Amino acid sequence: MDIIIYSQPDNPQKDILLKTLSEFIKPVPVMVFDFDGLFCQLRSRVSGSAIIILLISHEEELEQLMEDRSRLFNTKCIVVLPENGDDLAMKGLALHPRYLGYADSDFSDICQVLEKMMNKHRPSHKTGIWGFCGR
Amino acid sequence: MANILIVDDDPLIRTLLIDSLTPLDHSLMVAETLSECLSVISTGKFDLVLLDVNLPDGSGLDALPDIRRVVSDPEVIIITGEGDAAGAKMAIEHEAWDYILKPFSLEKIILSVGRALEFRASKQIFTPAPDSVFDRSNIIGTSPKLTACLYQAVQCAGSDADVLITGPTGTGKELFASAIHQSSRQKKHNFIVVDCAALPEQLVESVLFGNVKGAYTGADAPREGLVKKADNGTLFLDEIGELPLSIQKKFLRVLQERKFKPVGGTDEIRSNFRLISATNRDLHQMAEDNEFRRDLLFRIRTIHIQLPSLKECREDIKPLSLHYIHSLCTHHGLETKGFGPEFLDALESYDWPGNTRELIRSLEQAILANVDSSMIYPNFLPPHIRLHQIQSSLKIKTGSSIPAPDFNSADTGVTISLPRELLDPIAPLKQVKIYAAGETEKLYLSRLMTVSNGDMEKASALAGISKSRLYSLLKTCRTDVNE
Ligand SMILES: Nc1ncnc2c1ncn2[C@@H]1O[C@H](COP(=O)(O)OP(=O)(O)O)[C@@H](O)[C@H]1O
Repeated sequence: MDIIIYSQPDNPQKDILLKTLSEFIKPVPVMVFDFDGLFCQLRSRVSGSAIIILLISHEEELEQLMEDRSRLFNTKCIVVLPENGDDLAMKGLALHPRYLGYADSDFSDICQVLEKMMNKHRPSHKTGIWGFCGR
Repeated sequence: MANILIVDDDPLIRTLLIDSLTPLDHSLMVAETLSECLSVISTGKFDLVLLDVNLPDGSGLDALPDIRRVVSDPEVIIITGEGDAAGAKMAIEHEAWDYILKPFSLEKIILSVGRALEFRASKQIFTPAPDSVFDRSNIIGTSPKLTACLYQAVQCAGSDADVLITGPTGTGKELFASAIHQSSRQKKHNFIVVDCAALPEQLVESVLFGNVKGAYTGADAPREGLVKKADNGTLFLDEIGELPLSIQKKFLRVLQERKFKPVGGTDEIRSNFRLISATNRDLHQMAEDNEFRRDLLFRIRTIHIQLPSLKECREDIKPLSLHYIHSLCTHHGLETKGFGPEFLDALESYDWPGNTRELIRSLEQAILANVDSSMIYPNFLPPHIRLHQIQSSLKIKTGSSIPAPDFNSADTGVTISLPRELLDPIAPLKQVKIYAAGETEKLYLSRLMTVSNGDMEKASALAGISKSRLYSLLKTCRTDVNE
């Protein structure tokens, strides 16, 4: 089971998330950082062979993801929101994530959830965090 | 895609209709009796009914007025073995679209179905779609077991009762839960998914009930829990069997009182949600073993839908495959691929322990195995599925009278048996030699594929033949078996 991270390149939270994840799961990841990159990656791999972390910085990103929801196909995702707004949370939950977290936490909750999800999928091939640059 | 109900008590006619309408990408449901037809049609959303006249419990023609009166007002095509003027007149009076006599040609049915649906589509431009009907469009399959679950789902959608959906993994529990929500009174509100299997014990309580600021280390802000977010909507507790016992107790109270306190809080919060739970575990056994609260179990299963495994619904494999090959090809930016009977044979002979999820995944692997090919062949499937097909074909051939060779026994050799017909009366040597060579080849190939774990590359290297030669041998061996 692989982990793919979606984040805008300028989202400062991604570095903190990466650092925290690397303490839990090795090897250290490179990451997917835009929509095109994310969907290009999903198109080329068997659905459900990765967990996606959607690191959201703006509401519009959620709206766009919602529009393209069918392109996420059978992939399980975790949504991380920048703040605690009701509207934003409702939009995040509409993606039916396995977990909804917030970027103002230390991400340890996300790691715990990931660990549990990945344990469920074992034994499968080696776990690693990886990704690529979109543009 | 249209929702079509086929009402006929003759299994041959049903199969014929299903086979000819499935490739047109319609969603099909079947009823064998008039009462079944009337019960499903009153709650489902149908565009077209193909109605037999002579049904075990009455005449389809007599039910025509009731069928035309249901909210989705489907078009009706009458199919009858005994055409008569009175029947035809009644059909016309009740605006049946067509009156077709058996035996009929498939072209005629397909043409009539196409025209009826065109007519309906033109009518619907002027009439808005009915509101309170069950939308099963994402749920594929017409097998009796799946249909029975759909009937239950239709009932669930019409009530607010708590629902428990059980069944092995990948059978569509979340899909059913979402379909029930989409057709229920709660549909305008949220459908909140809680995946209990993904939540570590220390997080479950705050995820469900929320927390106040400072409730625990790291709780820097107050958070609303998912139970509150489901207010007026549906709370879907997936894998409810994984809920820790301490939370089960708290959750039972929420179900009884519809209120709860967030972690660290003192004020009670109200939430009025409809609960749908799902699990692949045996909750009764868990209750016996004190791992699941019996009182919670009784509370959550007002309606219990037990989804069948895919191997219990083999006839659904074909429509599921057609549907998913199309959507997977679209997802991967490819033209929709075709497949032949041997591919379907491989799919239908496998037991699918991971059910529809595994089927989708395997189809996707097969599609991606050779993106340039316009067809999908059995050898594009994951090795264990190919291997299974080969082995089961060999088993059919050897039959129960000849025990399968035990390659692991201490004996070094494996024997083949000659059938009595070759020895009594004694057959020409050439014929016996051909038979023995064929059997030896099959035993060899079976062992070869086991040893190489279905890996064609490895198998051809071990056998010292090319991959294409190996594939053709396997294919001949299967064709031979299927004859
Ligand atoms: N009858 C069905 N028709 C169409 N798709 C199905 C059906 N049953 C399951 N699926 C698909 O199989 C996958 C797994 O279904 P899901 O509801 O997640 O299973 P479960 O919750 O039982 O593990 C999903 O992609 C779902 O859409």
